[in-house]
Amino acid sequence: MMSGDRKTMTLNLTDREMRVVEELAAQKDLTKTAVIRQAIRLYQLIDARLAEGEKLFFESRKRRKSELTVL
Amino acid sequence: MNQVGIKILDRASGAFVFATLHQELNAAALLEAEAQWKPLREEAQARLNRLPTSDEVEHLHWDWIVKSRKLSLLAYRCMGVEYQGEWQGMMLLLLAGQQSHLTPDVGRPLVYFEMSAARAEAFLSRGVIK
Repeated sequence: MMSGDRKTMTLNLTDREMRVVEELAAQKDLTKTAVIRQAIRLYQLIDARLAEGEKLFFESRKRRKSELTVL
Repeated sequence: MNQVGIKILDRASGAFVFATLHQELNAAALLEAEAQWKPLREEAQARLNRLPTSDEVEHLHWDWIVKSRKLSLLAYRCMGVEYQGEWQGMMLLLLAGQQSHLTPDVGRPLVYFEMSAARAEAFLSRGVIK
């Protein structure tokens, strides 16, 4: 729970996946660890709300809505 | 470090006092705050109700027990200021899912300030509720 309690793990990624992590880190000015941490927070948040029956939508600039399905 | 010392203004004495900023509160702390604040909030609300016209103070009807459930998610973090065992104020932050749309930080993650609240006494002493 507390940010001081940190564990280390080895993450096995493909070259392509690692490239994406590196690109996101560069784009967002984050470390690769911070990118993964953000991804986990977002995944858990979305998963919890979907589990409660909520739906996730994206809306385009032209107000077109599309539902995102998360597996 | 999850706690840092800060100075806050004690309105009763007009002097700055040393308080603690807790940077990552758990649900138990929110429940404790709710137990401390609920009677004050109800008193403030009763005073507001007696006024002929009054602006609504939004956080008077917030229930931090409900808010505490969000802390089961990593995306939320709650910070609070405590002085002599009494919670003075809290804020709930959303750490994921928001990003900047303004240059030069387009696309960079934002910490979204979801809500904050202070002891109703703060409103009483500030003159918002007389």
